[in-house]
Amino acid sequence: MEQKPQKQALPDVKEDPFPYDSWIIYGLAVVGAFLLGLAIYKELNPEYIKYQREFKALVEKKFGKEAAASITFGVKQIWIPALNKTERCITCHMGYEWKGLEGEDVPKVFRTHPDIEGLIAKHPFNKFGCTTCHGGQGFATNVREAHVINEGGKKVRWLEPLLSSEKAKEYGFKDWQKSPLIEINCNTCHRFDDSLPGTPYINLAKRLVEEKACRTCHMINGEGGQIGPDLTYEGSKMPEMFDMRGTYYEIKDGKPVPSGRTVQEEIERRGLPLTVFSWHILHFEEPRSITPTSKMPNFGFTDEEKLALTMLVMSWKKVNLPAEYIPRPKKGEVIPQADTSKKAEGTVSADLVKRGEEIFKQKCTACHQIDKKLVGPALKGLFERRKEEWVFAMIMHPDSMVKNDPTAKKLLEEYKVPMAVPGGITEDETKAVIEYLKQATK
Amino acid sequence: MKERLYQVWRALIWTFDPADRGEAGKAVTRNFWLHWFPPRMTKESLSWGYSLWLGTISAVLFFILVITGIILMFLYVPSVERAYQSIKDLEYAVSFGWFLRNMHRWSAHMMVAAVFLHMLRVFYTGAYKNGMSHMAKRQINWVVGMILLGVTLLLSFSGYLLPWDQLALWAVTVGTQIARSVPFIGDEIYYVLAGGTRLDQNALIRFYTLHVIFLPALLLVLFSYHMWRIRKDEGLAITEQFSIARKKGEAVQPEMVFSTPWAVRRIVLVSLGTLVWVMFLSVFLKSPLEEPASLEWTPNPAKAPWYFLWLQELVAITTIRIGGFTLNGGFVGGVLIPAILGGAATIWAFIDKSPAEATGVWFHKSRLVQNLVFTFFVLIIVGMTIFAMYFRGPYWGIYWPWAWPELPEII
Repeated sequence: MEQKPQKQALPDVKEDPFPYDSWIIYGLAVVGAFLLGLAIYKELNPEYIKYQREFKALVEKKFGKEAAASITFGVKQIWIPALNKTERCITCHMGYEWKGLEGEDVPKVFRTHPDIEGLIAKHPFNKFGCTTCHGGQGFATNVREAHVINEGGKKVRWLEPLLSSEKAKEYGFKDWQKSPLIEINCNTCHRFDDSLPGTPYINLAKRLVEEKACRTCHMINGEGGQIGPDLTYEGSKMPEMFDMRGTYYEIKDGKPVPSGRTVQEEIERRGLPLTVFSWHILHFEEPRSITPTSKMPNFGFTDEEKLALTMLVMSWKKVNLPAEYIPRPKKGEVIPQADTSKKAEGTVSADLVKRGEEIFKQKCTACHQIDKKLVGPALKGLFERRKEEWVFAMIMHPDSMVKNDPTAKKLLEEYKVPMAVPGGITEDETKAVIEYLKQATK
Repeated sequence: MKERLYQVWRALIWTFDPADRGEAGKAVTRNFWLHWFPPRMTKESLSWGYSLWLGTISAVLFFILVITGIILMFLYVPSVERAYQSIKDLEYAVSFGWFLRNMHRWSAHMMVAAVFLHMLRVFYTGAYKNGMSHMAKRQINWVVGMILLGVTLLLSFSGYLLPWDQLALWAVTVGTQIARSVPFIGDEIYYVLAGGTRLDQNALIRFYTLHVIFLPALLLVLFSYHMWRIRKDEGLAITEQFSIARKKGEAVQPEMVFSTPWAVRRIVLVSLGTLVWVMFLSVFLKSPLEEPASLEWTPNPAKAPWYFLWLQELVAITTIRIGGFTLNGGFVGGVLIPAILGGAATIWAFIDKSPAEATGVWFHKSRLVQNLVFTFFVLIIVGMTIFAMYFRGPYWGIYWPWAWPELPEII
């Protein structure tokens, strides 16, 4: 049998030892309910709802109630698994595919996407989305984060910022209203095309790359010299890889002299935004103003050319494109190559001279000009000074020449930069160049 | 009105009406949810001022984390291709995803802080001491508590990587590189954590599994033991004060209150308060989410999670450059000093020989020296954390928080 414990008097449990506890709980419950209400309010009233209501009203005004009824509220997106993109831009920019919203009277955010030169037919929305061309953050559903706007000291950083017309204005584009910066993203896929309709800046820059023979020193798309840095993926370099706090140099009497400002201060002084883009503009203007030991010559680019070249190098990004996205190469517009079919020709013909000229432009003009001292000496009257064998040896074996030949040694002392022929050169090519130089340097 | 509310309370919580103390006790011990409480407690054990209820707050935060975490597991994909995108979806597309993620994140931060403060409270009240009790072995619970602090830090740290953004990747890079500077087995530790030579998919799935299964389970087991020990150690250390007073011949009678409803109600109050505070933070403060993780470039500066910032600062301070020779502080600052501090703190409960009177009271005068030394180290750790958080800028340079230099953008 269970033994009953001795009964003890039960204290008065109804006397509350903590008389305020209940009231605090009620208070907290009220605050909690209020916060929950606030969370629900925030959830049900996202920023984009305002735009969706406006759009619906606009459609109703323009096309009637029936058309407006098809518009539903909520997050809208284009999902492109192949590109790993989720484009929620269309949550607000709802009119992008509508017909009849092209006019100036329609607010810009709702306007139909213009189809310039059949662009949209070639780049359908469901395959390319929005940010592939425009940049910006496709995930985001609020203006500040989708457009990557930094305001009030609060930073939104995104790898592919929106290439807006406002941005173009900051860099001083004359035609900033046309958002020329978007050409950068065109060329990220179209990097192997010689030229492309609708990308005047990129086309200009590509012409300059050939004219100034950038590949003499720089590797581009796995092709070119190794004197300067490889530029194949220059556009994927992060801001942290550019030393903005280094000294900015001014060129006085042909020599870089510290200006007392940093690169960052120089960028700010010019009213440019503190970006990699601005760094490139300064660097194209005068490479030695940022890297005083740079061997890259000052090509005297115009403002427009600087912008174009900057856009080009910024477009050289590392991207993983599925095969169906790789643009078809433009047939018949292949980059002119040195003609190697006439190798056997031994006589001095006009063809050989012409070929020599082509090779000279490709491989030599970055450092040598006929009338002007550049990185290397001017070549006027070359064969009055040197024997043909010497010139031949210098082109074929510059390394051993600057080590062993007294004349070459002296030249190296004077010019500091050792001669190198980008991509190497064959005996026949050297002969062709010499034939060309015989005529050109007279 | 009060009577009516009381009736409602009784109806909801405790329909059983005990006739005597025995029955009241059984009512508690037979209830699964209440069985870890004694039937009655001293009123002082339940006071605000003694325990500050930090242990309860930590436990409540842990349960908020478990609940929000389980929901997040339905939405999160632990793969390097999808992880970041799933967090972006939480932020922008999933209903209440932002709220859920905020609650999980802020609870995690709060829990690290609460557990740390709980540790401080136990130290300053001498609560790991046994007083007059012959049964209590409170030192064991101090050691268990230190392990729980460690597990909490690991839980938070492993969760830090999961969003797979730059903040996550580089904070964990800093953390794992510190672990790498352990002598002899550093590379092995790194390899076990990362599952390879760099932080990639293998690291993500390891951190994920640790975060959602292994560490929470470990924490739950240790937490249960921690609670069980409080019972076996005859309650909170403050109850020792009554034994001490009685031994001195003072006629003190502790005021006893029933666990239910009074202790239960106080726990409900603290739980609700904690929940409301977390909700408040979650409604108004966004959780950070930076660019997708990339090993190709390092953010400037790359900082460890805030609770490891003092370690990073220590590493930076103990890294000595003499000419071209660099002595990496990873071992001294990142491993040796924290190991000595943590080890000393853990065994201190066995070394502390202050009198029994110092048990369960705040800042007992006999413990003045050790309290000061402890405070000194705590202030250094907190100070270094704040310094590294707000005054360390790009290139780990020293800046005023409001004079942070502008960092370049891409376009």
